[in-house]
Amino acid sequence: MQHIILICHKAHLVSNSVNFIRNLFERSFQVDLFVGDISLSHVKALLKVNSNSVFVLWQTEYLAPWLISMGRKVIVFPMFDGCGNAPESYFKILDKTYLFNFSAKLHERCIDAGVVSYQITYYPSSLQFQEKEKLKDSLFFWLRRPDSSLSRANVIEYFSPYIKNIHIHDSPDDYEFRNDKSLIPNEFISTSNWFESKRDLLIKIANSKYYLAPRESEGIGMAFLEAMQLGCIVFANNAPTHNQYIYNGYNGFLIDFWSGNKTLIHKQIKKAFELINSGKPIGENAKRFITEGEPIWLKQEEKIIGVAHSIADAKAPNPSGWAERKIGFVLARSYYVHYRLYIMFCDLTIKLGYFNDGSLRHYVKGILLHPVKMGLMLVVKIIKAILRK
Amino acid sequence: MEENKKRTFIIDFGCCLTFGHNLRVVDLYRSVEAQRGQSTKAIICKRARKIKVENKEQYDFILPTVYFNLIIDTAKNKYFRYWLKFVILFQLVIMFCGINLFELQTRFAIKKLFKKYRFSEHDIIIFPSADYYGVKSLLKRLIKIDVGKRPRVHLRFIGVFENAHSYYKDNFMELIHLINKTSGTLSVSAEVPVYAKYINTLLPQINVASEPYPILSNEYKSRVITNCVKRPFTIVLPGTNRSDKGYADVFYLAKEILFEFPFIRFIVQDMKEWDKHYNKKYRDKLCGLVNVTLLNAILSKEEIETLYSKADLILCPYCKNVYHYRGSGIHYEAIQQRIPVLVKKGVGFEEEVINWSSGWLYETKQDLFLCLKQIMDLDSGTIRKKMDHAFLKLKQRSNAAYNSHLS
Repeated sequence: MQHIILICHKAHLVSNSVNFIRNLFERSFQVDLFVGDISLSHVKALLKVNSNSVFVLWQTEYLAPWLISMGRKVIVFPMFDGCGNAPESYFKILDKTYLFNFSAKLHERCIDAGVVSYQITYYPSSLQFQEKEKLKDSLFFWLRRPDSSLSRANVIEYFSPYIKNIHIHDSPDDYEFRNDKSLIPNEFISTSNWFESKRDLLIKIANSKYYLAPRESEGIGMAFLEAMQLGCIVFANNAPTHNQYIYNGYNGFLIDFWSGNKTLIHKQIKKAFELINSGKPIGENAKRFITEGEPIWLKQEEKIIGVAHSIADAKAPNPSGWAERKIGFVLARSYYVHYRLYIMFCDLTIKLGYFNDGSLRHYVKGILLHPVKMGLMLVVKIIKAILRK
Repeated sequence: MEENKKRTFIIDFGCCLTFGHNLRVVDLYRSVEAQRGQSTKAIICKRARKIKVENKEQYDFILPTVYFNLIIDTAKNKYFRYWLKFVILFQLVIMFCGINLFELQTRFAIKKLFKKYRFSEHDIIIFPSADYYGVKSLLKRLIKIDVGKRPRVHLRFIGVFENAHSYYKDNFMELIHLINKTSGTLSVSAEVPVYAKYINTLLPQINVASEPYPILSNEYKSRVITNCVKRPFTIVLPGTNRSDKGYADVFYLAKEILFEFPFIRFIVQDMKEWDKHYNKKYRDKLCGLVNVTLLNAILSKEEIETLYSKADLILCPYCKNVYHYRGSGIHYEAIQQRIPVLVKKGVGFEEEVINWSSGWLYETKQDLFLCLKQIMDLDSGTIRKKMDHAFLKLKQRSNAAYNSHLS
């Protein structure tokens, strides 16, 4: 059986968001899962043992240049919430990998950078459980990023005029955020920190009429997609991947939370509730939208597996030269120091002509020789004009 | 060569290499004329004297090399390339002073040919790949001869050598003016219909028709087409070893196709290391792609035959800016081998692809995927029928053009 090494972040394991892709690959590959926080010496050991394995980097694309330079076959799944604002060089450096993008915006960015990527759209499979009747005017909100525009105070301020109950699931993403001790449940606010099973969480979401997508942007957005599938009316920030699935006023609402413009946000929410109160079946539309999308994802699953098989069947590419291998290693190290440093190194590496087909000569030529060439052409034109006269 | 018999001379100033389509076309015209019982002589450049062809005695290696850019592109030795560049530069400088050495050389060569072969009104001179200097020198010579004593001249323009140099864009009109002056014993054709139409607008008094490769009567290959849905489906890119033939696009095309059709495999002819557009990093990138097999830059006839035998489809991602008036030898060979082609829209031979139904055209990535899907859905019988039909059409067109101009 062909072998895949799947490397993801620790958070993906905690939130189980990597499970669906792991399960997908496990159908026809032997999969070993590693978290990206492992040391580089550990990765080195992996490289030695598995020379012909396919490396699947789940939002851990900083390892890609190094693995490529070592002559490994690499599939990358970058996420918008991880590199949505990264410069072109970040993507150019992934030119020799096989890129799959869940975000349409990120796919466009890759194309703009001249890198081939394949866009896939995830739709969750149908959830099988008995739904209770939805509680009227109740909102479910998972407080994942208390430091963002979707903080507890903001959410309560925006939604309190329209709802009777808000359930805050206080379980932030990172360990640097602690649970909000000042949050005291009352008639308006109910809280939770932990659900025994995912099923309990889904039941809670299914019982709420409204759902507020917890983050400003998403890599895939499995949580809000599940809420849509459960027939909730989803409010989400107007950013990828929310705006890829939600058609404002049809199957959910896109609110400019990111802008911080409270007047605008209040106006948008007011308009949304006017539409909901008019009887438009937003929740039903959301449910239908996701259910109808499921076959699309099933086809794309086959495609991912097909591509992975083609990659696994092929001979591993030749390792790069000494310089590129060392630069790849430095790049991976730099990511561990700081993300910004990695971005800077990416830019420098591309300008030096590594991991892409450009070269320093072309770069220097572009900067220095282009004005000279233009100047010469101008002189020739002037001479021609004089000669004509 | 017998003196008083009807003679055919195939002249090509661009045939200065021992391989390539110029030589192939010259050889084809020579063979067709020989099959017709004509006494033939192919007159090509001195530089091509090492060619390996049958009936080498029917060749005369007498012409000077004026199209140095052809040699530069293929010269392995970089010092030789520098020397050639110096020669071109030197000649251009002299040209700037009013003396065109290229023209003097060709004029002298034509004079020599007239002296050697004593062309008469019974003879036919064919330029299968008409070029600027050769045609200009010949026509200037013909003007001096009485109309009744002029040999018949047939010019086949292919959209490659019509200009003296890439720095000068408007030389073609000079040729048109000369053709107008010498019309009567002159026939003109173009390789592809779109170019023929264009030349016809410039020469309304002459019927300019499209003229593909001549087809030899015994050249009817019966290639057994394997079932198209077999795995892996193989797309071949022969001759795509130049940047204007889409070499730089192959990586992106192959990768896009990998995502859409993971079972498709590509066999690509590599770019020559001494090509001015050669980029080792791009080559490595292409080589590392899982669905691409890279072949040598220069392939022997046998290797090309093997390549065709593996092909389910031939892809021609040619640059439409360069190829908008040009045809493709690969296209004709593909038809003869019964392999369908997938061609980028905007090239000169797209009309032929449509008219003969020899393949499909694409413009965007979506077009390409749709066409591929369509092709893979076809069974081998349908493709064979389609390609047989295309071959018949090519043969008809070729014969019609040949007969109307040269019979």
